Amino acid sequence: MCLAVPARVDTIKGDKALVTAFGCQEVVDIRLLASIDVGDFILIHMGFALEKISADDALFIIQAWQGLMEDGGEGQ
Amino acid sequence: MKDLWPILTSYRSPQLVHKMVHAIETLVQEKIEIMQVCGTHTWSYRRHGLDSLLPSHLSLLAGPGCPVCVTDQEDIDWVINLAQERQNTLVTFGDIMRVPGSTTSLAELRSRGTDIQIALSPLKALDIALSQPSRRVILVALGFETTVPAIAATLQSAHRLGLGNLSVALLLKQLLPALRHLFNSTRPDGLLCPGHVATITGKDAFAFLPKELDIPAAIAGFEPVDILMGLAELARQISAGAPQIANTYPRAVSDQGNLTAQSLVRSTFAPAPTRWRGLGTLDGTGYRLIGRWQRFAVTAPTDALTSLGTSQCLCHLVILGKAQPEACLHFGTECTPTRPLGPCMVSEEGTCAAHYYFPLLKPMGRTEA
Repeated sequence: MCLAVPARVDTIKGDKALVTAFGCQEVVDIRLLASIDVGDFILIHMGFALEKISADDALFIIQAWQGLMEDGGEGQ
Repeated sequence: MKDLWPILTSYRSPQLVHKMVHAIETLVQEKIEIMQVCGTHTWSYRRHGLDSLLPSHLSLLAGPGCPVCVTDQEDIDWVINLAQERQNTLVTFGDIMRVPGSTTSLAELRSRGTDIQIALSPLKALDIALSQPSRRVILVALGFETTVPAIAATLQSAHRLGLGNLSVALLLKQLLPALRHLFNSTRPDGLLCPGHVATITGKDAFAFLPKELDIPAAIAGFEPVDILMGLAELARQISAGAPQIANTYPRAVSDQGNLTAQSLVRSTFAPAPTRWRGLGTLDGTGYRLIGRWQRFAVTAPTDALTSLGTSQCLCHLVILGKAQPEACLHFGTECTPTRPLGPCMVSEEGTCAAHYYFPLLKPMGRTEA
């Protein structure tokens, strides 16, 4: 039940946002986020936006691991 | 702004998965047991076959990470009784529908016409209460720290709407304090921490694991590479003998967590004792409504005995990592997802169901050449 899925914010109106997740559009409640903008990526859980997702952090850590594995993977 | 979708694709890269498995094999020289306490982790590593790839001396134990599975049998019966009161409309998440009660299940009742509505969001309970003012609408609130803010926000909306016919059956649980109780009797070599609980609580809330209990800990996401990042980090900590709390899911987890959600939860709930299947009643691991929110409460009877399991089902041991599903005589025979004996075979996050749907491709770990 702690499943949450990523989605992109398309439009915002009051406490609600229209988001796209896996090609589907859904209206979610955004009260739990202090700030949110159109184009942000968010995690959705039970109809609520739980948190913004940082694409920069996602890219940074995967690139770090890719680099580590190419170097032999033992120097962590 | 970067596009997230192509980045997430690399978290399923088979090439990277195999390199990371090799790195973990190199790090793990002795037998170690890693516990995870999130049903979504269980399902992800079974679905992607990760535990078939990992070395045989790295054991993955599923702990009490499925909210439906840890809900005590007395509470399941309580919810079933609430559904049978004629004036009530029960609104519940789908996972609990087929959990067997002592005499029936919510699914059976619904098939006979009992007014039970399945919701994907607690907000659906508001619509039902508004459209049926003569009914007493009871939302079954079930879940861990991830779900609690959504319940609090739903009550906030109910208050704004002036709804007098909505109540909440509170079965919410706090996983973090429960871990302190659990680790009094069970001590894994490392803990793979649940990424979406941590999204709300923040990384720092898990710091007691290494600091006070000396348990290596890593917060992990749910893609195959996410899970391997967490396991590799745990293997590194165990190998170095230096327990820490690591965050390998920084795209969704910050040090402090979601402060807005935390504030909403604090203004709505206070900690309370609650019953756990297999663990008994644990202080401070549940929630009670406070202040003006108390009027929404339907509280479970406190004098009921806590069930520690029946001879028919090992779920109470499976959720503590003390038994693998395959150790149960009924697994896959009398107990299947269509005819479950216990909640671990019902829930989409249950360990038994995960093992049933995604059996190991070969015995745990690689066959040595």
